[in-house]
Amino acid sequence: MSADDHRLIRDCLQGDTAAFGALIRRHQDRLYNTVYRLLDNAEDAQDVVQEAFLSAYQSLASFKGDSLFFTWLYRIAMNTAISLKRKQRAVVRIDAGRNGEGVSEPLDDSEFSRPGHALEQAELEREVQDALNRLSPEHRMVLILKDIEGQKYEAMAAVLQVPIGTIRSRLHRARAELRELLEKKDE
Amino acid sequence: MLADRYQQLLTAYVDGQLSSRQRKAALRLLRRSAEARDLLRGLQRDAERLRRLPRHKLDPDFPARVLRALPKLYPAPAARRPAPRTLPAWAGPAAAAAVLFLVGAGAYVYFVHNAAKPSAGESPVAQNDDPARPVEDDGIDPAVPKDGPSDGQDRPKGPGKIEVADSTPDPAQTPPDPPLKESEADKTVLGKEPRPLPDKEMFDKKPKTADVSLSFFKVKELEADKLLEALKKDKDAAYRLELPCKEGNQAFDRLRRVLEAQKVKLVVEQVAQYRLKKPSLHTNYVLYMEDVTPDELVKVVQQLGRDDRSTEKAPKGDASQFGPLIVSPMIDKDREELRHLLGAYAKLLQSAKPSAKGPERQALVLPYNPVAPQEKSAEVKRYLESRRTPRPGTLHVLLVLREANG
Repeated sequence: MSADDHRLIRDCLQGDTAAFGALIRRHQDRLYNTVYRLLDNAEDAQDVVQEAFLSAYQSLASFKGDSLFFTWLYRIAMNTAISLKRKQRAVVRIDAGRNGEGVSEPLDDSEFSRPGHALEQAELEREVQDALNRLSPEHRMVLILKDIEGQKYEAMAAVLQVPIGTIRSRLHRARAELRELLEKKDE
Repeated sequence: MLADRYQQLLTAYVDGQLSSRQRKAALRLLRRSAEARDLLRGLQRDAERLRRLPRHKLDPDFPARVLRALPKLYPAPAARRPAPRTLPAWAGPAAAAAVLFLVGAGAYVYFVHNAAKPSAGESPVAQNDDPARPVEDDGIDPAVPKDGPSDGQDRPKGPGKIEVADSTPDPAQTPPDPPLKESEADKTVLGKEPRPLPDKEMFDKKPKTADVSLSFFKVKELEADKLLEALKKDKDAAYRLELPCKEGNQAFDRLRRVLEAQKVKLVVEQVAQYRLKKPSLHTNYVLYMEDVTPDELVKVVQQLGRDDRSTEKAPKGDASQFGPLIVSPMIDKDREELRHLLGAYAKLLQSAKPSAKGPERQALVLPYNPVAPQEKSAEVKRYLESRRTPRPGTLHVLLVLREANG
């Protein structure tokens, strides 16, 4: 666990809620982006992230420090998100992911000064997100953690609490499925 | 078609997590197989498309909103207990058994050897088993945010110093216990002099004055006259009601039916409308009403209680939906919270004057999300701008419908 996280957790357990605020600031965006990609809905993602931080606060005393704080937080958020996703009925959203209070960070401001390019980028994003949405939650999760969050197998295994071999095979199947979905769109 | 084991090798190649032996095997495969090269290009392209997805962020205010919710929802996390010393597994139960034995032995000796009837004026046990203590809530915090926005606007002042509604007997009127008779047995238990029993005076201390007067009412067995009385106490005629429930959406549906039967039109904010369609989401709701008489409000609660009782009695009835209703006069922090929930249109509370021509009684419904309320809600604006002049004797009510676990 990073020294900063360790210090902030220690301060928080001594009653310093500002320390918890600092923990939130350190991890909120990364967590939100992952959950957003998992749920494809800004409002639900914000609910899940908020819930994850509140649950983490409540359980902070039980966090043993044997894993990264972020791994532990991820785990809470992933469980909440997957549970929510399973319960939700499939809803066809015409403009999914465009509401809510999240803010999108453009990759390159100069590119977005060309309206045509922005539209094209939005369409590409939509294609990829739609393909992600069609994967099972487990397959979606491993692709998000690997390619979007850049996690290694070991960290992913810790978050999802499965063996590394399971991560490898899930990634293999997830990539094959995604390939098939994106190939159809490309044709 | 490439064998599955080769496809797995290429997937791991894309992941960048191959041992040197595996990497060499992958490179040999790629050199000899065009199909493998095509597949790898496709997988790498897909991974790149995922990596290039725009990153979504939360607004900078998010941490502050979470922190504001913390005191309401959760107590401060306890500091970690120090790691326990290593003891054998049987030590705990053995210690507990020893304590129980000693207590049991002492009680046996005391009661067997001290069975003499008390003489006039004496009592073997404390008369008052229910020592005076302040009215406690049952764990539900009608709670106010620690920090709330304050825009400095003039507001009707909340009540000043408020005394605790203490319904327990006045200890001053209960005769003090006479001193217990010592027996020889007391002196000889364990061969030691017994410790004196705690002085009853410690139970007679007046409770500290609480900041807010809370009144509790069982919804299913409502004491309507007492609720009516509680709703007439505050000179500003403004109350906060906390109604715990098992499940927010179901509880709201019941409340909606009762209010609509009483011709109260509900203006439901957009996010609340969305969440009402999502039974999987646990949602708390808040209602704000300005034109409801105490009698009308009592009738609403009575009907909720009747519905709860009839649901229980149905062949496959559910357990009751509602917990005890908690009523308190609205204080400044409640008003601040209301302004926070109304977002940018909170100023309309004062500036938009109700008219005589407004629609019949209305209630505004919002999701109870003090952490991240909607900043600009069309429904909030519509409600505040279309309010009717309240009838005389009516109340301002903030009713929070909160899931008992949330």
